Amino acid sequence: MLRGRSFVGSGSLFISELSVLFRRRRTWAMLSTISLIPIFLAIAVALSGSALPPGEGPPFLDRVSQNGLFVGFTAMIMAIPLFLPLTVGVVAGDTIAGEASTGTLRYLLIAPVNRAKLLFVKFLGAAAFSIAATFTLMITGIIIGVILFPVGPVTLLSGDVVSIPQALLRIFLVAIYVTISLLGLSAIGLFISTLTVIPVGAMAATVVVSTVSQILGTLPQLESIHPYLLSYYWLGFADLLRNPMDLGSMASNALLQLSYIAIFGSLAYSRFTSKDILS
Amino acid sequence: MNRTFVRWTPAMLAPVLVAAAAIGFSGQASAVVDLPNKSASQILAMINTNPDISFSGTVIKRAAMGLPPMNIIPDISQSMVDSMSKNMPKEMVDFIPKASAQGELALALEFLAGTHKAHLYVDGTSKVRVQVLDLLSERDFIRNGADIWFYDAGKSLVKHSVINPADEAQVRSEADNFFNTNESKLPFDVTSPAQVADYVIKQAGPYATFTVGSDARVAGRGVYQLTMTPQSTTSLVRSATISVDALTGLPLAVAINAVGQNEPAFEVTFETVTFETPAPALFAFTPPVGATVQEVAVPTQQDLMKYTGKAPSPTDEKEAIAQLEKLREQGWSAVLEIPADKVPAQFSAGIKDNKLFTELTKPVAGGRVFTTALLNIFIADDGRIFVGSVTTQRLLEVAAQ
Repeated sequence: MLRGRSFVGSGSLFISELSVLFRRRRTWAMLSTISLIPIFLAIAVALSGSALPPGEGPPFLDRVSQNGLFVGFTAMIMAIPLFLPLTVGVVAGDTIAGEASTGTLRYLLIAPVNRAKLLFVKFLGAAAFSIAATFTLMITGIIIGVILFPVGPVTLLSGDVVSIPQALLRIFLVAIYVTISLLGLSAIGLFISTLTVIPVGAMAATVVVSTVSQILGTLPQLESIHPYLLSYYWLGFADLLRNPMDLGSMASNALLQLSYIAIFGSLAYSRFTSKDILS
Repeated sequence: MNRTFVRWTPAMLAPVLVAAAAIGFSGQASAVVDLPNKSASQILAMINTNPDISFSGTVIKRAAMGLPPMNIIPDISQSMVDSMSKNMPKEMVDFIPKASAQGELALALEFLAGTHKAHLYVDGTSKVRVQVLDLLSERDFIRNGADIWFYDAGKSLVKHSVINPADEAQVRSEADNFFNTNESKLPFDVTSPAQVADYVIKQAGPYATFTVGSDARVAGRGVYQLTMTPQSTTSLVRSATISVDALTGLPLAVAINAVGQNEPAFEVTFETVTFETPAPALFAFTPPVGATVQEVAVPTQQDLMKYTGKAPSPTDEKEAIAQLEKLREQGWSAVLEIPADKVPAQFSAGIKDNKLFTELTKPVAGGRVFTTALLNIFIADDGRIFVGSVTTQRLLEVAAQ
């Protein structure tokens, strides 16, 4: 199971990691399930036929039947709390522990691959999956929306209307925003993955971290720590749907996720470089 | 051993670096400022000398009014609350909302609690846009000349009013007339903001002291801080501070501190501000397709009279003036009494059984009190209502007189 990873450069190591990740059936199963979210959502709205009164159901759901471009936004809101963190948790939790459990980690490190470089590449792999997941969801959303519903200029949260190309740009930015939101969790998953040789344990623990963060975020008694929670800005992508566009929360979110990457990335580094690889 | 230590160094350093960066970032914002010294009266005179100002910024409102701990979820109906409490297991009882609040009441409660963020765009006096940034939603208030728009993204609702320029001009000319005929009676020269400020501070003298705080920074701009401290032992207001932009005179922050509470009870602060004219397109609002549009007529004087039932009679006016005079004499200890016969019938009739009312108020001898950090209301069993920014103790004393 060396999978041709005798390359030294991290570029080729990354390409090899990507090809392993995206050749796995599990990855494709998760991406297909993600694409089912907007599809089910759109079909349900199309079949129900009756227009939903505004303010009922998840945000934007009432607008889906008027404008298919909203399918992606609504699906994103539904996928952020559980489904996206779940899939990212699976990929990030598997990074090191997965190799350890199948016994390939040893061989990887016998080849002249620096442990830090391996960690970095594993993190990039998890990040690549986050990009694939958010864009799969958004692009499927657009396609199914265009098929089932009329499509036209999009009404922003501020009540102003933007043209379709403008709306697509914002959809693109929302997907980027959500990808950034998942990077901190990827770093946490990577760290947890260095702690164990049982991948399922690391995956579950990563998902638990994301859930705990969201639960803490709903407790008003803990208001003072809310801005430091991993999930604090997760729903802040709504700021990209205002007029004028508010990039403030995008920047704050990036800074927060970067802090998590710095802390858990270095924890993972310290743990991984100082541990004995037995399997 | 040594090698292990070296390898764990990054893990120990990273949190420290992140924390240091976070602290350094906020420290930068509060770097020391030194502005030319000004007296309290000079600062007061600076405020709003240029009403035609254009700016845009982000405003944060924080309220810690000390409302009773409760779960009030705005905009869900009482029947939903009731069915939730029936169906939820006993252990979950703390999570069930105790009462519902809808419409204007929900808005009022929202104003009194928690944190809100808004974008503000102002171009002179006739173009304003306020965007209240809700989570995954937004409420917009736009004034563009004669047009007034309100948009609620959550409800997909538009309200529109048109100000009749003639009406506006009439109100303005009436005000001007009143002002011109009475100007000579005023004890100061109205064309001089400095004199007005001096007069205000002198008049407030017996009731409050004004102090100038150290120069500070709000939204990255140097500000003067003017603090007013009431001279009263029964007042709930400990002090109020206004931060005035040194260059434009625009108030950039207002904080009201309550007695016995460290954080401000109510605070409005600019987080960012720029003094550029906002893009004209921001004020041009067209209702989006699919939104419900309601035309709302601007209330005229006749409408207001219809609402109160009758035009104010000379005796009513005399009573109101006497009442105001009485309040003024009491200064910060002022308590407003609403006699039972002046309280609207539907208020006194429905309120006793209202769950929200019982949830928000607590029983005292002779009635119930609604307590917040800055305002107390005593609703007596005999129907009278006492309102004041004073301790419950004082409210009850006044009621007993």
